Amino acid sequence: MKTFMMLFGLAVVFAGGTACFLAPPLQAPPAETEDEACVGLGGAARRSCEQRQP
Amino acid sequence: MTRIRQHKGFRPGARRLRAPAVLIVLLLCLAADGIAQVCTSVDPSHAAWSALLSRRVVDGRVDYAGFLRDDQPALDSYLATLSGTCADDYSRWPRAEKIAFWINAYNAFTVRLIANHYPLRSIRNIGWLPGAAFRKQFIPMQGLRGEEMSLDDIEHRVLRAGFAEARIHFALVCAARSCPPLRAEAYRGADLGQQLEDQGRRFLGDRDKNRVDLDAGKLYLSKIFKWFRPDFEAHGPLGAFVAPYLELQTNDIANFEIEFLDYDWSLNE
Repeated sequence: MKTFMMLFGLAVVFAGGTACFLAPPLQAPPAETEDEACVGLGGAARRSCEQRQP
Repeated sequence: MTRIRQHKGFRPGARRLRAPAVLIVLLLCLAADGIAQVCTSVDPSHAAWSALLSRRVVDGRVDYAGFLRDDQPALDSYLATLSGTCADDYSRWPRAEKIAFWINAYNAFTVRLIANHYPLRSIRNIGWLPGAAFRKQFIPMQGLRGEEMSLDDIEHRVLRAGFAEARIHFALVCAARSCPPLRAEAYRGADLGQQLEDQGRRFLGDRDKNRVDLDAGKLYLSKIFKWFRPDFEAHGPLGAFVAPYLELQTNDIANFEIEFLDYDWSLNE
C-alpha cells in the first residue's frame, strides 16, 4: 500500500510537471499581418511562426 | 527475522531508493520549468542600453575604454537579454519595435566586438580577410534565428531583406568614423520614426560625411549611398531621398552630379 501511494504520488508530480511544460502560453493579441509577425525570424522559428498565422 | 520481513513485503534498499527517486522527479520538474522560462523579456524602451550609451557616447564618439573598464557586466547583461528573445514574444511586437530591436542588437554587438579586440585602429583590423568582422558569427540568436548571426546577417538578411526601411542606414554604426554617429540613446519602437529622421539630419548635416556645392552643382555623399543605392532609390532618385535631410527642395538638386566620398574606417572613438 505504501509503495503504491509512493508511486501514485510520483506519477501525479510527474504528470503535473509535464502538463506545466506543455501548456500553451497565454493567448496574445494577433499581429497585424502574417508578414509583419514573422519578418526577421529565421529557420524553425520562422516556420513555426508562419504555421501559427491564420 | 529476515524471512519475516521479506514476507511482509519489505525489500532491502527500497527506503534508500525512495529519496533519490523523489529528488530526480523534482529535478525533472524544475528542469522542465526552467526550459519553459528560458525566454527573456525585452524592455521595449531598451533602457539598459540607453543608460550605457548615455555614459559612453559623446557626439557619436564611443568611449570603448570606458566600456571595457566599467561597463562589461551591464553590456553583457543587455546582450544576453537580446539573445534570449523568443520568437513567440517577438512575433507579437509591432513592426517598429522589431526594427528597433535589430538596430540596437547590431550596434550593441558591434561595441562588444570592438571591446573584445580593443585597443585597435579599425574594425577592419579584426580577422585576416577584409570585412571579416562583419561576417564573424558571434551573435547568439537561437530563439529568433536558430543560429549564431553575424553583423552582416542582421544588416542584410534581416533588416534590408525584411523591412524595406532605407533609414536603417542612418542608424547602423559599424564602429568607423565615416559611419553615421552612434546615438547616445537606444532606438525605441515608439519613437523610431522621429529617431531615424533625426539621424538622417545629423548624418547628412555633417560636412565631413556629406555636403552640397550649390555653385558647382555637385552632391558629395557618403559611400553608404553608393553601397546601398537601391535601398534609397526604392521610391525615386537618390537626390530626392537626401534633399529633405539637407534642407533643400528636390528640384534644387535634381540635376546635380553625385560624387561619393572616401570612407574613413578608423575607429569612431
